[in-house]
Amino acid sequence: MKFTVKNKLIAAFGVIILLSFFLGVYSISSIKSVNDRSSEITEVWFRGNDLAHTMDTAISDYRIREYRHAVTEDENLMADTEKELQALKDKFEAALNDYESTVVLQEDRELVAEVEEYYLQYFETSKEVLQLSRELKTKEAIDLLYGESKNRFDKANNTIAELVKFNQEQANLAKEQSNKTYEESRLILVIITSAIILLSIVVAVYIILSITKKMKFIIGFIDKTANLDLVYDQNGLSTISKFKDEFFDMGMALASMRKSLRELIDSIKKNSIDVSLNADNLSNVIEETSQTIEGVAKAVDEMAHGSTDLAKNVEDGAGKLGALAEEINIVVKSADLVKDYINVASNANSEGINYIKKLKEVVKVNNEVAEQVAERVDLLDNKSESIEKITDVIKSITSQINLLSLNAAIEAARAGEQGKGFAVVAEEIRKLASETANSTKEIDIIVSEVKKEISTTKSEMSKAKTAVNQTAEVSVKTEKAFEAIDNSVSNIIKQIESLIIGINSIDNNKNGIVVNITDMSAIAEESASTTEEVSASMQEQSASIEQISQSAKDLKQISVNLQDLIAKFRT
Amino acid sequence: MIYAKFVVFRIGKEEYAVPISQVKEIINYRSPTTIPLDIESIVGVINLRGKVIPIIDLGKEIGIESENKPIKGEKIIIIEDTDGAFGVIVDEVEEVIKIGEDDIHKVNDIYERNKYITEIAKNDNRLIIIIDLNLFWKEVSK
Repeated sequence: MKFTVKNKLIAAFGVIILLSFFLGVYSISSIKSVNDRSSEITEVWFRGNDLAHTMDTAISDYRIREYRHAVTEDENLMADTEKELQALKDKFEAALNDYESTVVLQEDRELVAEVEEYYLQYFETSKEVLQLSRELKTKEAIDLLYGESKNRFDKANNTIAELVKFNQEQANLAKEQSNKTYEESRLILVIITSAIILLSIVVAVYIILSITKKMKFIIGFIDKTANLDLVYDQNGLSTISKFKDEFFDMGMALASMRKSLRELIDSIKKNSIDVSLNADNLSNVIEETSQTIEGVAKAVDEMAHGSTDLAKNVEDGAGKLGALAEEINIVVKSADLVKDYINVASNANSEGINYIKKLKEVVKVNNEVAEQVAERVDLLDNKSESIEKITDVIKSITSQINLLSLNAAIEAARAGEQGKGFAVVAEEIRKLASETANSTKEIDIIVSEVKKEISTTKSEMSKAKTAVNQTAEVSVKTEKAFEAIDNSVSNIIKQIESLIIGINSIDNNKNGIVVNITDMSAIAEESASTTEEVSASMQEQSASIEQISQSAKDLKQISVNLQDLIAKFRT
Repeated sequence: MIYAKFVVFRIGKEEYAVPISQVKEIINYRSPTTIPLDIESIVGVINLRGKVIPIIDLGKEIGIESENKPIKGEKIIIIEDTDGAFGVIVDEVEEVIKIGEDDIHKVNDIYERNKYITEIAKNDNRLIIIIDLNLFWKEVSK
């Protein structure tokens, strides 16, 4: 039986699935064992602990109420306390019974037996205490309570405390065991998982290696064929025959394909060489013929083109000469017109120059007059200032006279009757002074107006001076511009005259040329039409030969391509 | 008609008159030399031909701000009587006039506070306050 790739894969994955199943089963059992342990802790030991605590509290409460019963003398309170005592006793016994049902260990059982014994003894004594209390023998009851009853209560209570302690110890023990079990299970699980992963890797690597090796060999064989290497390979065949699986079939199929290809290539090679030889011969013969015809055709063609171009050029020349003649006439007329305009401009320019010269003279005179006026105005300014000084002096004198006249009047008054005439004189002097003062004031006003006028005149004068200066500058510039225009105009006139002479001589020569060209044109046209006929028939022949030549060339090319293709195969 | 003569002067816009008999003379303003004195009204003294004369700013004393004028226009009226001489600064001395006795009116008691204003004179539609500068001097130099 063949151990094929498919079977190998199935076997490997089967082993891995089996191991994984085992791992799963083991995991579940481990989890269950850990779970059992923790249940034991909660159900047995925590519950036991609770019950022991209940017993402890119940018996302690009982003891407190028993004491209250003993101390009190109130019958109602006694009756209530007895009820409470009975309830606590029932609670204690119920807890004890529950606990007994959960007992498992021998040590536990012994402790429970002790508790039962001691609590019964304690309750016996308690009955006596209560009896004494009811009979109001308080002292005896208290004595009993602190004597026999105390001993028995302590015993019972201590045993219960031991029971609590025992339960806690057992719970801790169970917890430790549970942790231990968990740790062990984890270790085993890790080991098993690692083993499975390792095994899977080994199996995968083995399978991949065995498949890749064979595949590489087959691919190498195919590559060889793709590179057109079809040489018979004895070693390759013997390697393939050793394969026991699907790769053997693949290899054998490939080998037989290579054999068929080899035979096919050989036969194509032989045929293509024959075709090539024949095509070569044909091509050579046609090419010689074609070359001869082409030579003739080219010569004729060139001739035809030459004569056609000549005829065309001659015609164009004649046309252009006609156009030239018209242009020349227009230019002659334009030149005459320009000459007239230029003459008019020249006259206008001369007039301009004359005006500018006159303007310059006027400006000069203007300037001189303005300077004289400015001098006069300055003089006037100085004079008016002198007047001001004089009026200031008059003012001060007037004021002084006024003061003197006042004092004279006063003196006259003091002189009494003798001073009367003098007083009149003083008054007259005062009046004169007052009139003088008024006149001086008027003079002041007039002088200040004159000064204002002078300053206005001065500023106007300076403006006028600036304007005159600008006019002078502008007129100089304008004069220069007119002179430049004059020069240009006379130059232009000279140029235009020489232009007209040149144009006239061109016009005369042109007519002779036109006659010669017309003759040449007719001859060229005749020659062109004859040559064109010859050229057309040559072209037809040439085209036929070219077609044949192209076919022979194609054939040759095909056989060459075929040979190149075949040469790529190695057989 | 009996006339009296007065020297008319101006402080601010008001015209005042002083009886000509009290006036010694009129001089141009000169700046007084300030000296420490108990009498507040005396702004200083001037030297008039070798005599030391105390000067009073009359405008300030009668509560009239003198016109904002150039010093040039100011005058000093020199008053003289038996007790001695003193000068009074005024803005301007205008004229010497004669006023008829009918045109001079005694002032009412309302003006009692200013004892030196004795009369008011009417002259050509203007009112002139007559000051007795000797009384005034007695008031200020008490």
